[in-house]
Amino acid sequence: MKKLKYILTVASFALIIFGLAIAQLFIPDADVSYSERRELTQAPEVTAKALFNREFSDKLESYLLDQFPARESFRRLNAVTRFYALRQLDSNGIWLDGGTVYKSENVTNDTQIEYAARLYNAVIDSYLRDCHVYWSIVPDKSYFAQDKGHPHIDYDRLISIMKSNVSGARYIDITDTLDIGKYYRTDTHWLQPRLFDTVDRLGDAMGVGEFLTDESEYTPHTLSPFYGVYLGQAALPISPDDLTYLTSPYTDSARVSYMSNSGVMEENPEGVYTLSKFDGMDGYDVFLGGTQPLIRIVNENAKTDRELYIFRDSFGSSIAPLFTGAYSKITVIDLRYVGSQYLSNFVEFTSGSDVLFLNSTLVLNTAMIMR
Amino acid sequence: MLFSGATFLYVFLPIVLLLYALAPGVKCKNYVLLIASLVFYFFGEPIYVLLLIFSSISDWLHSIYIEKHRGEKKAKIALISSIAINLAMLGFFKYTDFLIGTVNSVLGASIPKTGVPLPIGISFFTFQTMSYTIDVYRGRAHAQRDLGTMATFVCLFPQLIAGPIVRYVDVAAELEDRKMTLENVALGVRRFAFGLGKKVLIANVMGELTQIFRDSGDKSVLFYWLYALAYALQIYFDFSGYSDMAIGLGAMFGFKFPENFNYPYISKSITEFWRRWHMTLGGWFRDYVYIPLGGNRTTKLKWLRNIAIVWILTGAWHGAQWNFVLWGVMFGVLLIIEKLWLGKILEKLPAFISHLYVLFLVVISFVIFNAAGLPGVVSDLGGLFGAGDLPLISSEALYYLKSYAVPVVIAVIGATPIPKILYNKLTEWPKVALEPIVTAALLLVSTAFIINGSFNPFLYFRF
Repeated sequence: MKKLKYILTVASFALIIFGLAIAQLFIPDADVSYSERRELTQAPEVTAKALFNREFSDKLESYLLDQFPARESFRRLNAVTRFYALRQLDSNGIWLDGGTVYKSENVTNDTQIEYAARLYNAVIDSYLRDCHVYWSIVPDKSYFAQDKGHPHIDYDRLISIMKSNVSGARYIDITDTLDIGKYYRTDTHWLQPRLFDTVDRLGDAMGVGEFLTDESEYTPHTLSPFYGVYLGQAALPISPDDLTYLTSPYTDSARVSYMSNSGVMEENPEGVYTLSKFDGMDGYDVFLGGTQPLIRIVNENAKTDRELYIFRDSFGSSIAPLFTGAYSKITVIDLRYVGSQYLSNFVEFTSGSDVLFLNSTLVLNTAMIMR
Repeated sequence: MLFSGATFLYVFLPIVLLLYALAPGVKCKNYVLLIASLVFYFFGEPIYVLLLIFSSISDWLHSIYIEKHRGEKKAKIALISSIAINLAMLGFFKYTDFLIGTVNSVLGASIPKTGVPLPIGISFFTFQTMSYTIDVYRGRAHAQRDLGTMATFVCLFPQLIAGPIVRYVDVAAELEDRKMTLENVALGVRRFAFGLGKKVLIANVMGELTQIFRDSGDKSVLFYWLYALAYALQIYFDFSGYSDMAIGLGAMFGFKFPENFNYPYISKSITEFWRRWHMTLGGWFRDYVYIPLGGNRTTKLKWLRNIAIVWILTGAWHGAQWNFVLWGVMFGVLLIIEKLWLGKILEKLPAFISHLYVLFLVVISFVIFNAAGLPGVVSDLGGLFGAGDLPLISSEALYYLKSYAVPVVIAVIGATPIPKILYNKLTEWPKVALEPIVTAALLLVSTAFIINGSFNPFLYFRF
């Protein structure tokens, strides 16, 4: 009987060790992990230099981990073990409640938040003295789950720091226009079709409420499946979201141009929604093409000839199109990708225009990524 | 290369096992192991692999010379030379910058540090080779005439970089003649899988908790104690897990390495704790430092001196920082107190009080051990006792207490012989199914944790 036990033990070990080693050799390498939204490490080059400075051994380990056979299944096994066997409340800060995936942020970084306020003030002082300047904060999903006992940003403190440090701009509180149902279950972002209360609040405050496009004038279009950023990080068996975007005569007629690497504005033939990006690394890039330092939306059919400048993060990508009926020109600026000191090279701020600083709590809490 | 890394588990190990199984005869198998060991070390220390080769050749030559001149003064000179070379290597790489830093801070000097990185495992392989030449000098071992066999002993990858400290006499016979039997391989596989599970599923998870504590801006007394408990569990499962993997690998290759841990956290005195914790290091200091100094068969004053020397050295062996020395001194003082009077009192106390006494002091000792130098010791110990108006409880501490409750409970139970006792109560038939399933499950779940996580350090690599 002991012999049988030994044979089975050795056989199970050999099957796993040799089986996975051989599978590793024959399974072709993948370029990207869509669930984690990143490029995967490729086989390292063997050079004498790489061998002797340990670059090869480090890269080989990364490569093997990234290209491991049945990697997604192993990641899922890890997540399931942590959540259901070890009963851990989160895995790398990712946690679940009622099918919604959240990410904990357990540090409220006063220094970073103060930096954000100072940056706003510097931009206002440098460029926006003759404009109507507003600022608002997009709460991340954990704002609506503060009673769940998970670590989160101290939102009251964050807002208070911003309020007491930002000057020369009016604060618009949009927190009560949002709830957890207005965010993707598997992603960090909000749902465009559920932003009308928020758009109304901002539009009313900026004096364009009456020119906003009515909800009934929009046509929803759904793309699926949309694997949100947290879905990949959670690695749990959760169904993906649908991504819905809204079109109207105003979004259809808007001409959108992005700043190229050479600093020249180039028109995007796809317009407000870059549908070709849905199958890319991040489906949310459909909205205004995703990560862009500077975007200009010109709409000759708009109900006013007013201009709006939005200093934003990725949340701004999906809300900006909803202002296309009210503004003839919307300039969307992401200070994470274009330094504020260079703005005059690319943007001419028109006197009397509206300006909205709209960043999320997540970006404000790590504000030094803005320049 | 880490035992708990993909490179080791799914590239290095299968190739080595295959080549080893195919190699005919012990001599050939030794060469497979030697080359594999050099490759293993090269992956972590491409330059310092030369140090390992130098150490092998140096101690091989010294031992032959010692044996040739046994009983003569020349043998003693050769022994001193061998020990001096090993200690010089250890001293230069491990303690030079520590001494420079100490001189700078005491004298206000600004001597530049060398910045020489510490070769992985140097504390282990220098101790192994020193024990070898000492044993040859004492006539307890024959000098190994074959350089390849000698180098195989010095470089043997399963225990090369984090122990257990295997003495030449432990494996001398096996280096010459051993068999790769089904039983040995199966027991080795089981031990390796359990070691891997201890390391990856418990030590690393406890390590996450200690890291969360370090990064937290919401500390409290509760959080400090949670951290202290987590670290004590992490270091035990990390080091004993590594030892299990080493012993398991050794068994797969036909070696029987010495045990290194024997449930230290169930001890009822600090004396007992050190009989159960890092047993090969304790044995080394006993046989090569404490007893040669006279042990306890001398005057009381010299006996106390001997204990003090051993424990200062034990502390310094663990790291070139004052908190490690303090850690060793703490145990030295506790052992002296136990030997003088407390030991007898402990024997009469109810068992749970003795256990609490040991656990409290051991947990405190590991807080000292893991602190960032002496200022860190003050800060961390202060935190445990609420210094600096620290709140008793914080919401973050409660959250992580809840989140890590099950892993902590598993770790606490796993640190006792309870699982082994329960397992031994099973009859043979369930074991036939259970052992392969548990082995495979540990391997697969550990692999899942390795693939998903980036937190995978080995604490004892720095020693």
